[in-house]
This record gives sequence, C-alpha cells and structure tokens, in this order.
Amino acid sequence: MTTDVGLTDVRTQGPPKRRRTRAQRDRLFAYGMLTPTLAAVGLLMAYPIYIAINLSFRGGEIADLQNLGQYPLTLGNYVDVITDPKLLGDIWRSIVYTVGVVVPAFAIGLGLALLLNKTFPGKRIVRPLALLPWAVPGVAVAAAFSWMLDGSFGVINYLLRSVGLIDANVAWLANADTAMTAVIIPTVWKFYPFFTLVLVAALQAIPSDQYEAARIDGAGPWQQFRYVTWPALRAPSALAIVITGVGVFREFDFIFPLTGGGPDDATTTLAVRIYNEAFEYFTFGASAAIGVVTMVIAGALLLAAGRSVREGMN
Amino acid sequence: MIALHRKSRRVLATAATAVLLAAASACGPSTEDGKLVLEFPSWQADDESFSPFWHELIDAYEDEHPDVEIDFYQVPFDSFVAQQTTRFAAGDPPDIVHLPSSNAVEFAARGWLAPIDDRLAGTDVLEEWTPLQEQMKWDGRYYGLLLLGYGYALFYNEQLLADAGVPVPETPEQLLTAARAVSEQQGDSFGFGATTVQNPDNYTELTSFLVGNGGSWSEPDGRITAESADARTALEQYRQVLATAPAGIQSQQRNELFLNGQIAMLIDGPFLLSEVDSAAPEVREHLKVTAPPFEVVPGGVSNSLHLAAGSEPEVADAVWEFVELASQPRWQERYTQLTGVPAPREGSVTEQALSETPELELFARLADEAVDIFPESPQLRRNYGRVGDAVASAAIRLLATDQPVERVAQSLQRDLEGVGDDD
Repeated sequence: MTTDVGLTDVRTQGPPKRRRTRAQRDRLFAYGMLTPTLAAVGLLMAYPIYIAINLSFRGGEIADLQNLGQYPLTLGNYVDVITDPKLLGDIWRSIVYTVGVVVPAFAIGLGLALLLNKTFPGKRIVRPLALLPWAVPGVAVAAAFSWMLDGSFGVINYLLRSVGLIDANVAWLANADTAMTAVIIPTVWKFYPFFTLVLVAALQAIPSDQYEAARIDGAGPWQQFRYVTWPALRAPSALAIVITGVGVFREFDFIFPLTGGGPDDATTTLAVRIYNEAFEYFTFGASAAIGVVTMVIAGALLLAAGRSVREGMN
Repeated sequence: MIALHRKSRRVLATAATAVLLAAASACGPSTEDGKLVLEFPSWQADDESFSPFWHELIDAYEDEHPDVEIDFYQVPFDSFVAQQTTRFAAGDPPDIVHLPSSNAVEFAARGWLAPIDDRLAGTDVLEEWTPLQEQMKWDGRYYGLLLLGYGYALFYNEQLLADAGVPVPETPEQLLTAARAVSEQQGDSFGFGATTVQNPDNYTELTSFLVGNGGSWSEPDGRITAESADARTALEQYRQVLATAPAGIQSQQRNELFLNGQIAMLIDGPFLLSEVDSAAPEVREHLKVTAPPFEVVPGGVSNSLHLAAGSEPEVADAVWEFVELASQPRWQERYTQLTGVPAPREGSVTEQALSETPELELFARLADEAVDIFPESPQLRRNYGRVGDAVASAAIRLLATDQPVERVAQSLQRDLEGVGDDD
C-alpha cells in the first residue's frame, strides 16, 4: 500500500526532484556563511588592488577615479617611474630604513625576550611596560619623538649635551645626514615589542629538560643559547622578521609626520613617494605605478623570506 | 559542532548575505527633515580667529534660507588638501568648497571647480576686490572668490632689538645685521625666526626674500629664472639670515618662541597678530609689527571659496548665494573686525575696526602693495605641489649644507624646469 501511494505520487507530480546529499548541503551552507567574509575581502582587498593596477595603466591627467575607463591605457606611467632616476634612490632608502629598523628591533626584542623568560623581582611590572610601545599608535609615537628630537629644545639634544657627547644642538630632523637615523629610532621603539612577544612565546615552548640535558653535557650559557635556544627561535624569528620587514618597507606613519620625506629627499621612501605623487602632485597614475612596483618588491621579498622561514621550520 | 536545523541554517546564511548587501547599498541622504544640507568642511571651523566669523555668517545665511542647513565642520589643515583631493578624485566633493588658495588652480586645472564668471558678472566683486583676486583665474576664467589676500609684515620684539643696539630693519642688509646682533647676545635669544625643517612654509619664506628683492621663480611665459641675479641674492640673504634662526623647528614652534620673547624678528602674514595678542603681557608690550624690510612687499593669497564642478543646479545656486553673502560689504567689514585682518573688499577696514586693531591700517596698505609670491607661469601654478617641493628642497640645502648658492640655484633651476614634464 505504501508503495502504491508512492508510485501514484510520482506519476502525478512528474519526475522526482534531485535531492542534495548532506555533504552538498553542508558545502552550500558553508559557502553561504562565507559569503559575507568573501565579499568583505573582495571589497577591502581585491577591489582596491584591481583599482590600483587599473589606475597604474591609465594615461592623461586623471581627475575622476570613478570613471577610469575614459582615460587611455598606457605603459607610460611605468616607463616614467622606472626611468626616473629618483626611483632607485627611493628603493635604496626603503631598504636602508627597513634594515635599519628590523635589525636593532630584533636585537632588542630578542634580548628582552630572554630577560622576560627569566624570573626576577618586578617582572610583572616590567613585562607590560616593555610591551607598551606596541599599543601606541604610530602617529602618536611620531609626534612624541618630533618633540624629543627637536633641533633647538629637544630632550635628546639636552641629554647628549649634558653627558658631553655633543657641543652644539643637532637638528636631527632637518639635517640630511641625521634624518634617516632620526626616523629609524622611533620606528624601532614601536616595533621591538612584536619581536619580544613572538620570541617570549617561543622561549616558553622550549622544554626545560633540554637545558638540563645540555648542562649535564657541560654546555655553558652561550652553548645552551646556540644549541638549544636558537634552533627553537629560528622559525618564529624568521617569521617575525618577514612580517615586520614587509610592514616597515611600506611604513608611512613615522616618516611623514617627522620629516615629510625631507630634508632634500633624505627620508623619501617608496611609501612617501606614493603619497607625494598622489596628494602633492596629483599624478595618480604614477602614484599607482609606484604602488604596484612596491607591491612587487614586497611580494618578492616575502617569497624569498618565506623560503627561509620554511627552511627554519625544517 | 552544534548541528543547526536546515531551515535555520538557510535563514542565517541568507540573512548574513542580505545584511552585507544592504550595508553595501546604503548611502547618505543629502536632505534632512526636508532641508537641503550643504556640506562645508574647513580647517577654520575650530580656529579661534576665524570660526566666529564663519558661525555668524552661517547663522545669517540659514536665517535667510530656512530650507537650507550648512554642515560646517573641522578638518585638520595638515591633511586638508589630501582629503579634498581624494574626495574630488572619487567624485564626492563637498558642496561649499573652501581651499588654501595656493591649491585652487591645481583643482581648477583638473576640472574639479566650476567657473563662476557668469555669477561674478552680477556682482561688484571684480571692481571692488583686491587685485590678488586674479590669482583665482585659470585659463582666462575665475574659479573662486578670494577671502584673504595679504602682504607680509615684519613682526619684531622691540626690546630684543634695543638690547642688541640695532634699529628696526628697513632693508635686507639691516635685517641681517640686526639678526646677527641679537643672536650674539647672551642667553637663548635668536635673531630671526623661520621654518628650519622641510615644510611647505619653506616655499613662502624663501620666496618672500626673492619677491622682496624684485625677483620671481619664472617669467610669465614660463621661463625659469632661479639662476638670475635677483634669485641668487635672495638665496644668499635667506641662508645668512636663517643662520641666526633656531634649527629644526616648524612654524608653530617658531611662533611660540616669538611669543615667549626668544625670537627678535620674523616675517609672516597679518593673521599672526591674533597669536601675538595671546603672548604674556610682559612680552606682548614689546611685540610690534611693521612693513617688511624689502623694496617690494611680498604677498600671498590665503584661502578662497569655490563651487564644485558638476553640482546639482539647486545645490550650486544655494552655494553661490552663500558665497555672495560672504562678499557683501557688511560681511566683509565683519570679517575684518572679527579676524583682525583686512578683508579683500575695498573699504572693509572701518573706523571701529581700526580703533580695535590699529595694525589694520598697515595690513591694508601692505595688501594693496603686495606682489604675490605664487608663480605667475601657468605651468608652475598648475603644478604648485612640485614647485613647492623643489623650492623647499633648495631652502633645506641652503640651511643644512655647505653647497654654494650657485649650485643650489643651478639644481633648483633644473628642478623647476622639469616641473610638468610628465603632464
């Protein structure tokens, strides 16, 4: 009887509906839930990248970013940017700034991580204080350092004069010889806590019996660091260096408020040049082309560094 | 994992997508309670000297136009041009466009501003305005109403000059002698105050010396003259005078040092007067102002009002009525009285304003005599950002290096000749 009713239903209602399997339903549900995220990522990342690339290939005096199609397609922006003798200088300064920040920030971060991994009185107070710079916005850091580095009344000049290291005030931000160092210092101050955070976490993951075994084998502090600590820190260090390096390579928050890229281009990195081309000179196409070049350089660095991270992990 | 009922899952997924789509399609209304709302961003909305004038003007306008509301709000000056550039390029300009006048031509040249010749023809602005209104012209058409044009003045500390035994300078040579004499005195006093880090102010300060000596960066036909005798003289004077200035400071720090009584002289526009009034009484009594120590009075255009190109006719008309109201004699007089700087309309300095601010007489005279420091050449004007940067770089080379003036002039000549090559 049940079969008859079923057959009758099939005959009267036409061909049977293809029912989705549970796996298909789950997949559909998953895509449904992912849609907002995918749309957000598409809007926030992919679309701006598409616009930047599209813009970089547009010629003429671009004044309407909403209707880029009205401007002719050209390679002119890339030709101008790549043949501009200033580009090499911008790349070089970006590299100097990145290395100048990452190396000392890593060294300070590592030293502090090793210290914070020990037990000492006041550790509970020192630990958050040491990590505090990470929470301060870059522009606020730049504002504070611009007063500290002030050429006439800055506290840094006062301290250096007090201990006899300089005779006369130094215009740190106005002198082409000192400006790069002057923008590197606050950036190091801001970025070293990230290394500390990553490395403290890695240090705490090292089993104490490894140190005990090393000590039994007669290893001194340096050998313990070299053969126990460092192998465990290599992979997280490489990862932290890559992340920080790429971030610093395109950093803008410190340089622009402190020097605006000056004096006489001494601190003009790729990020500052991109800003100037767009907002000072209104050459949006050239700005986008430099942005794409920067993206390619940062991507290449990321790929190269990614390899060393993988090697470190192995 | 908690298993959701199939129907609930579908509803949840659909709702999440719908929320996103709804958010993406949302857009702000241009009217509020049936009123037309005009957006008016400005760096002067919170400015102590200028905001009282704007608020009074806006109140008067809204009284006359009960169906229109003006949304007047502050945008910091440091990021103002960048923000407006982004908005115009994205096709979302404000309704009432307030710009630093040095950038107005750049905006007009990119088609972002509406020409207002027809509207000006129905007013007396072109007859009654300062000649500096011509700086609002691009390609033969007017693109804005100048709100402030001025001549630079020499602000000085009478006591510091007297202590150094030097008179108030009337020539560039006397300026240098006086600045050196003050700097050689004991204590933390400086002969001259200027912006000594790279900054757009380097352009105005260095170019004041150039225009003051009768020079300019270019001929009207666009030929660059950075290596001319006048230019080299100005570069040399600037270098020598700025050697007596505090190193590594911005204009705000410069002003603070002047108000503290630590800087003997500086050259600035009349708007500095309102800050001078805030100095401590024992310093204020020694702070004076006079004509700049140059043959020619260097001057500039400060800020201006504009209409965005492509505005709805209803919006454009409402904005123009606001601009026109600002140009009325009554409001020009009020501007002068409230801000302490002469408004651009002829006869805006009233007896009452003069009695409150006697310096207005000097400022009005300087504004009448002023020769604009912004370049005449159209190519340089439409690329003011690059010109400003090139001149600021030259200023920094003079300040922070030992490069001979001839070499600085030579590289500036090359830089300025390269401006606009990529257009």
